[in-house]
Amino acid sequence: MNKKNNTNDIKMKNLYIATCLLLLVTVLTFTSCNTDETQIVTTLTNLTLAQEFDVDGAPDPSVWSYDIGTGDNGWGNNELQYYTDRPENIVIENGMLKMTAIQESFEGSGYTSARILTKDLFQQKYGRFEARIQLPWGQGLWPAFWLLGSNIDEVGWPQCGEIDIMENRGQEPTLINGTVHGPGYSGGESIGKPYELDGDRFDTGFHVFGIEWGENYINFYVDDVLYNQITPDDVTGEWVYDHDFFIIMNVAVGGGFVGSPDASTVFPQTMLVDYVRVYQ
Amino acid sequence: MNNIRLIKFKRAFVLGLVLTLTLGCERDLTDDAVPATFARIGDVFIDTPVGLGSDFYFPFAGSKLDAATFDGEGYESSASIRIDVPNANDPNGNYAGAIFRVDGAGRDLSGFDALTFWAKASQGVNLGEVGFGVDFIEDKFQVTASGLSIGTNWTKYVIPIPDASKLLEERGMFWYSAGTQETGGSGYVLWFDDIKFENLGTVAQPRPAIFDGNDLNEITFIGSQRDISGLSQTFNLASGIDQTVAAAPSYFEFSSSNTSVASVNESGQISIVGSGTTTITATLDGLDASGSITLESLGEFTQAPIPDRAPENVISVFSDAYTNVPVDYYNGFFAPFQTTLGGAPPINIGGGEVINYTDLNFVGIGTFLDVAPVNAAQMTHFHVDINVQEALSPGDFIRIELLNGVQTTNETSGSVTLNYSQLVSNGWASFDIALGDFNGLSVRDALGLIILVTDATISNVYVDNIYYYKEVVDPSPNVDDSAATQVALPIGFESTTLAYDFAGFEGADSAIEANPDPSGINPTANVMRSTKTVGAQFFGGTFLNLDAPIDFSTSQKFRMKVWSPKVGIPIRVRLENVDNSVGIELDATTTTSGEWEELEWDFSGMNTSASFVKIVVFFEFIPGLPGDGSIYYFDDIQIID
Repeated sequence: MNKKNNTNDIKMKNLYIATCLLLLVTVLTFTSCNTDETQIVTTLTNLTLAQEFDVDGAPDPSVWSYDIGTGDNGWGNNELQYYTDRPENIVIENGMLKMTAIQESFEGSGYTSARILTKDLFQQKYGRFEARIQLPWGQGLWPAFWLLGSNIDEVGWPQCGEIDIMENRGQEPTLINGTVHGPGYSGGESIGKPYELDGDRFDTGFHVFGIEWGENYINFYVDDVLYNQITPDDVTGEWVYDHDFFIIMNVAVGGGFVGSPDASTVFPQTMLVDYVRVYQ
Repeated sequence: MNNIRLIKFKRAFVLGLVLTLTLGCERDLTDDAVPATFARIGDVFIDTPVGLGSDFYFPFAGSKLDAATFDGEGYESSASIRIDVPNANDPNGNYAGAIFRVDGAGRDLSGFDALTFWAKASQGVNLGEVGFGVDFIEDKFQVTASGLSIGTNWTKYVIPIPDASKLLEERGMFWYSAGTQETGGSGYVLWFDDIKFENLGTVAQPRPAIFDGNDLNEITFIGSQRDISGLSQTFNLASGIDQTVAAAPSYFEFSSSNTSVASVNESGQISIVGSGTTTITATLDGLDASGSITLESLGEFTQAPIPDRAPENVISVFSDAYTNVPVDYYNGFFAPFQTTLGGAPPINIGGGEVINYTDLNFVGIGTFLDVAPVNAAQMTHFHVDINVQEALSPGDFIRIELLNGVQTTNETSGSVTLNYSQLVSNGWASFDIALGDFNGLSVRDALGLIILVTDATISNVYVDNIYYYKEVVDPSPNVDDSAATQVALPIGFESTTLAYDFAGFEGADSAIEANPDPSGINPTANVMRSTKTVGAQFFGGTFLNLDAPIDFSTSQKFRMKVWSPKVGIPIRVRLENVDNSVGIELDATTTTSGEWEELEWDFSGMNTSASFVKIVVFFEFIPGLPGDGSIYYFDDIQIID
């Protein structure tokens, strides 16, 4: 938490990024930038992965695989859902990837949902990772778009590093969190910052969630607003973000981060993903 | 009507102004010209009323009229609306409530998504009701948020608009109603400030509902009407918390899947016009509302038989034929075990009121909370008509319980059970039950509850014509047995030659004496006295032995004239055979005092085949109640066809 205060020293800077595919010009506008720290911003235009979800059916198996089941101890978080690859839980329709959490009794769990990942199929060090997403909503929903270090099987977590580009508590419809987990600063000690929409919510329309990541920095942005930069100075342990990472998207139900759904939670709940794009 | 005319006039004036301005610009009206709209002003009260005109505050009738003041402290300011909610016993009004109505043309609120305000209270309370859309004209777009938790610090509250596109000319900017139900009757202070309509952008996930989201199934008949209830709209707010508001029917579009069975008007009232089945659903702003009602109309409804008892002999609880006494409710919804629905309120079928209980296990009709209990001391019978809307089978029953002195130390009750063979499936059965048959109901001067119990053996019934009545027996001819050759019915105690074999027992004292009150219906010379001496057993009485058994072959109706100093007391008649191996008994209740009256003991349905040669009469037969010296008389004992 002390380190988190350091990140607050970086005042919010607005980074206006034209997010069209043919990114020709990047305009940077800083306001009240009264910190000595040097802001590192890179312009990344070389598209290395574009998942537009334009073909109905399952996600492209050459890019995405599934996590199935309940993992160990609810994927380490006491999550309540059973992940499947059934079209009820994950399907591409009308140009969207739909990841749906359903309240149903399934293999001993009370909910089903989906989690897909690019492990061993797509990985990259540095670059710009972004996705355009409309979030589900309601107490106990926990949608996320995040990265894990590709060396996780060799060095384990959190040594491999984790970059949560977006995670949301369904009971906080105007708020998302961008966070990193590494050795000495994982779980409750992770380093990050929330971002809150003013006069809008994440479950009523699409928003772009992204990072621009280079040597010694990770910039977090939502739509055209850069709201945080994390550098080696900000983390309380080793900087473990100089190797390949892969992408994960999932909709968890319950777990320590959000708490369980309650009577107010409406099911089913769907996360709509318009695209996932990665630039180098 | 003056108000409505005024509004129309103003609307015409605004349109005229637009035309004038346009002409003044020397431009022609084009196809792009749009109708004049009303002020798109959101602010209602920001430290001071905003654009409400001079006459905008209208308290509710019965509320404390001067509860509101417009000064003092405010949210980040020095002014707000201060509401002094009065004590429950304030003679000038026991609650505070009012509307804020624009004094002039309405506003166009279509660009907003919520009414917001800041509020606090002198103590934590759940605010009764607050909202907007009440103008005391049509209240067409009323919105009500109930039970908002108001704390002692300024907090912002959000009341979402169910469908802002409907609010193109709204005058009802704000309304509130606050009482002391939660504070034990003690007054408190509420402050409101910064009341305004806003476009928050975070009011999302609309979930309209009718019937509170339940899918109901009901049987009905042509001519019946039913309101769609439980209309609400729920949004998820930026806080992540759902806010539900009650929404007026005008926000919804209703539809009937079969309009030859039922139609729905824009007020949400369903009218049954034909036989068959239809499902009523609704949408709000294009979204399907959860909840529905599927109605099966069985065609024409057969009304219950119209009662024909003279009104002066009736105390009616529920009947179109009489003026009913005030009731607390026709369904008490006793938690937690009651499942019964209906009766709240009764329904109207073809112009007649009737109660339809569904999911019946038990239900209470109350006359003891806020209304006077029913004094039925002079009544003899309880009447009810019941129409069971399902097949009957052995084991089905309806038990009627009457409670006197409800929730007092003198509470007594009695019950009568109607078995399946007495009831009628899909038809009316009428019941006239002697109050004396409600064993245990020793007093009936303060009847407070009528309870119907089926234990779910019967779940759907129509009930009508619930009343107490006094059976007025046409006096039978006076009995002159002066020439009789044996002591046998009819008996008038007029013979000077017969030896009437009688005695008082267990503290009762008896003698044949001159009629102490030879007036009214009994002018005969001699009568039987039965004095219940002080301290007599409650089962003290008078017996009379007969020389010939009672002849029940043509009628089982036993009549006797009685004279009692007390009204509403039970008189028990017991008939015994020679060795008392067979005995039958019934109670009748006096309906007057200090004068002769004739009462009837109808032994129909009882074992009247035995040779009954002893008549036993017990006055004021109330278990445990000792004699108090009262003197009673009886005479003219006979069987009447």
